[in-house]
Amino acid sequence: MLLLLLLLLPLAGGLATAMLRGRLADLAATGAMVAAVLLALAVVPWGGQPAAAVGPWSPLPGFAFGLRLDGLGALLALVVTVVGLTITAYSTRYYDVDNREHPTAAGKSRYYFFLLTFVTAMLGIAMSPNFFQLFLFWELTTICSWGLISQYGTREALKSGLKALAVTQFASLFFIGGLLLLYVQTGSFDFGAADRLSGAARAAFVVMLLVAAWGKAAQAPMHTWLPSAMVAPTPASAFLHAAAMVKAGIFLAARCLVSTGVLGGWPALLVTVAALITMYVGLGGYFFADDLKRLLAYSTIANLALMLVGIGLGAMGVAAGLEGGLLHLWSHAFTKTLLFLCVGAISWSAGVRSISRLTGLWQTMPLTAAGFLVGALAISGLPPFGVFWSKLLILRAALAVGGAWGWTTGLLILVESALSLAWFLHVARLVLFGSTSEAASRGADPAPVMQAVLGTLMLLTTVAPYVGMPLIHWITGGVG
Amino acid sequence: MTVTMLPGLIVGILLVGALLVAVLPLRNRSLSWVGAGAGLLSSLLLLWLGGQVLTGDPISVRWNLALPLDLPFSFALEVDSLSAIFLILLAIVPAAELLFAVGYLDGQPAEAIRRFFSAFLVLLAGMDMVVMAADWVVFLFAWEIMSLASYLLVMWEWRQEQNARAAWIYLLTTHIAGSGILLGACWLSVLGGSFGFADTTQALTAAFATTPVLAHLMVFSLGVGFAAKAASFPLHFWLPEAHGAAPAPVSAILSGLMVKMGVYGLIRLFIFMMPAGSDAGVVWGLLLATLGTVSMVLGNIRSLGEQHAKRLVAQSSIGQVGYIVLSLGMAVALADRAPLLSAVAFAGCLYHVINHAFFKSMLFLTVGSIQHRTGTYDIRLLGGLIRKMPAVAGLTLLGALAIAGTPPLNGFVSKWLIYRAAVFGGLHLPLLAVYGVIAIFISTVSLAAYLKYFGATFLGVEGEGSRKAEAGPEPRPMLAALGLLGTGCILLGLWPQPVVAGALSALKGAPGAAAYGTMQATATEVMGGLLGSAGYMPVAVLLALVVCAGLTWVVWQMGAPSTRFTTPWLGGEVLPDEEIRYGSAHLYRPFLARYAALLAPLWQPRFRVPHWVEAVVDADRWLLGPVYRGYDGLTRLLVRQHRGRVKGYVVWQLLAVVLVIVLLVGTEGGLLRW
Repeated sequence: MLLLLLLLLPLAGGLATAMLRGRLADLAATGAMVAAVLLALAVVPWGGQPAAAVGPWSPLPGFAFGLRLDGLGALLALVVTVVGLTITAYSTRYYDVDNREHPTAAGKSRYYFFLLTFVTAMLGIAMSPNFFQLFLFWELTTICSWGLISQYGTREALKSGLKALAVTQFASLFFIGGLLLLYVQTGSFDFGAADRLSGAARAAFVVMLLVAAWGKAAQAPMHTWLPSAMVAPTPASAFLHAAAMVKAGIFLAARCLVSTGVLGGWPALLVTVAALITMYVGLGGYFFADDLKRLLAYSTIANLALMLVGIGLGAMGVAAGLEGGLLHLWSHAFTKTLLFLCVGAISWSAGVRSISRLTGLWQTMPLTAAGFLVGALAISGLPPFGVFWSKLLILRAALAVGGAWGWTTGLLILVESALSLAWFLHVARLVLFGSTSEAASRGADPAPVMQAVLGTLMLLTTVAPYVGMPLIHWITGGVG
Repeated sequence: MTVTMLPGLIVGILLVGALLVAVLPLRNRSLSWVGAGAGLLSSLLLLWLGGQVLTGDPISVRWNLALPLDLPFSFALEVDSLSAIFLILLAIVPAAELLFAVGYLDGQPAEAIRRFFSAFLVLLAGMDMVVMAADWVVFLFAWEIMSLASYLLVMWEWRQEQNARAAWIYLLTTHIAGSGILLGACWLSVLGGSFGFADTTQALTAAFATTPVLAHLMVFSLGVGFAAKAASFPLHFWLPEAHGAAPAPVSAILSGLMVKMGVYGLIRLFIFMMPAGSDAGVVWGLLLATLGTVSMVLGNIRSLGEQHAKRLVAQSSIGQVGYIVLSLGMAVALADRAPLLSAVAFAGCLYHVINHAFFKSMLFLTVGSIQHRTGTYDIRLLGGLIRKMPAVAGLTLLGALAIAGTPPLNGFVSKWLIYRAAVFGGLHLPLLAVYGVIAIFISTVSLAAYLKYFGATFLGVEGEGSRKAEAGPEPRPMLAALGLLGTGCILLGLWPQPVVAGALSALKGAPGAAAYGTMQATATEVMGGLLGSAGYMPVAVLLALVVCAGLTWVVWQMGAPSTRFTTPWLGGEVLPDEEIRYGSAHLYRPFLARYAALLAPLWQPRFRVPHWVEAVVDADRWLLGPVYRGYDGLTRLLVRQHRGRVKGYVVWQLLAVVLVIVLLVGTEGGLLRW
């Protein structure tokens, strides 16, 4: 029952805030998220095999609805609730009239509604026991992301929202195709049913599910909706990037690997190759982004690709690859939230997020600057942060696969990682250090609540990877 | 308390110290002392640990802290004689730098002091861990922490754009090169089944037998990572920038010790992991020796041309690391061919590591003292400071003579070992003799560079910068720091035996120890006893020098005319002091003009991404945009059919029905059987 409560609580919170105004809405949203985090922590099966479940309800033969939380789902559920809480708390002050970039509080209830419903949708994905239910929540996330991206209602925002909707919806068509195939041939939507598909159908099923995952996870060439989606309010962007939406795509791929056997063989190779290409596409975008958020968007694309490389290597039979991919999902969530919220703080107080107009922010907003530096170092894979471990795992997995293929993958990962560190530190240097520019001199560390959120995230970025490791090790079949 | 607890305790003290400095609500001076105190405490423990290991057996510590991941590593530390020597170095030299920093940072805001000491202590912890690690993951973790801490220290004065840039280039270079270590370590762990040094060493030996090409590539990959940290040519370009940007105590530790971590890695790789005495060893050894010689020439000649005091000292670091890498290369190349000479070269390598840590730290600290007093690093603006800072002048001269290899100071001993190994090594590998001659010549260049620095700063008339300086003694902590390092330079010169014995015992720990002549060689033999004499006897040399000096003084007193100080006559013109002075910029001009090519600014990494990349990355332009426009066109076409004529709709419906029938008939049951 706790699972059901966990699923419905954010939705209820969202509906409540939709009717409330002002501080009450803030309180209701934050309260709902606090409760969701506590519930999630309570239901996560820490290292124990039996996953909590709510019995299936079966309206039609083959259709079963229920809730089941295994290790993989728990990982996503924790990411969504914890990141969701930090973002909700941050939004209470960010989405306000003293925001220099968007000085408005209009539409805040709508914003909370979509944000909290998004949490429910993601939790639904995490707790789905079969493909069909997963698909329903999958579509719900698409709608929520459309709502959040077009939040400000400008022409640009509406266009970007539509673009995200169209691209991910196009990808979802493949999901539907895959599901139809599955149902027609096996009469079931269970994860296990995928293994019963015959040869060619199985191939078609895998490819269709992968296309759906690629669209959602903004993989090339369906990646452009993500940089365009930067017109969303910054905390919403953070949520889309770090915890929700794009992670759903990764989750689908990971789910296919953990709960079915369909990714073995050539699909593993396909996943890895596509991911490597996307990694470099994402990297290529870094160098031309003047908007800090756009840079982060491309970094998300590259990092999602790295997760998929890990999953692909895992599908080739090297457990370290999957562990690396999942650990990367986990560490990236907190790190990217931190980075986005720091950029949010910069645009909140300085009103500008253009790299060329900002220098010397350390002078005026030391906490935010420290957060950005921590984020930049963490995302680049320097210890003691989690990405160091996930990159080490993925690199070793690539070399363990061996052969020309494994070596190519390993070298490509190393080169990408080095170039990305170079660029992130370059940007950090331009923006944070040196003499203070005119735009930066207007900046100041944000409101206390936002500072507290940034501090918490800095701590989480450092500590969380070590907390998540047992869970991840358990998912991949290691002794927990 | 047992000795095995020491490694954890030392690192713990440093990290707790870093945390305390960061959070304790204290005033400036007290904060500095908290930071320095933690460092000094760890130094005492390090001395204890190092002493225990050098007089006893290696210590191995293994904590069951392995992370729950599919990574076969364990938290293993091992302190053998080689580590112990580096640990003792890490105890003494940073202690001096911390003391110096207490005085140097006086008057800085508390926030700057916090940043300095926190990062400094973390850097020390990282270096201690690097030296103690017995597992590649632990090593890499510590290695990157060390780089990160030093990055923050280089950027200590972040308001200056060029400092931030120097720090960026520095971290970038060492991180990119460090990827080589990551790659090599991962590959060896896959082969050997774990990240432990023992397993990976076996794996490398096996790989040399089965897949030699790959094994060499991996040695290269690891070597690049270490060589970049050691700032050996061609990965030296970051050093003058970074060490020039950092505050003096930081430059001192970066040049004095952190660069040596790269050397430590090279020693571990080439002496402790590579199979000793193979043909491949000769190639690698000669390669190292060549790179070392190039660094030596480049660094010292560049330092001769510098007018910025800190950059002058930093450039010379490249040169001195050249000596170290040259001797390491000789030790590797001569292994098994001339075991004793190999041992001599190794002793020279390790000895020069120790010496350089002492005199280079001291020289950087004296530069810091001068800047502290005068506010400038430009030696063209200095001069005549000997009257205001006599102690610093004396110690600078001591350091300058030591680094140039003047007996009886420490620099001579190590350089002498290197020259001998090179010249006699020439009997086996003729190239080494050439390198030996170059090394001897270049040592005079470094003397010239430091005499220029000394002369321009302390002698002659006062420059603009010197006039600003107040006379008086240095703050006591700064003087104590300089004194400690100066004493080290003298003692290491007068009593070389213990160091050589330590180096030999370190070499005994290597798997192929026999190839390095450690079984038969004694410290006396290494010191020159082999050649039939008693070897180098510093005390005798000192006595001879004292006697000569005494004679010179006597002769001078007998024959010297009475000295009369007066202003020079300039044909009646009155000129300012700066113009009539033979300044540092005028020295060695013909020589420098000859080597102008070596003095050009070093290449610095720069990003220029071609613009077509943007077009490729932006899929909107070439894929999604056209698709969307095509879709849009198609819908417009369909809309045009929508004219409200009933006949038209009927036709469409008929067509659709036909299509559905065709589909159903064509694929009847087909989907299920597929």
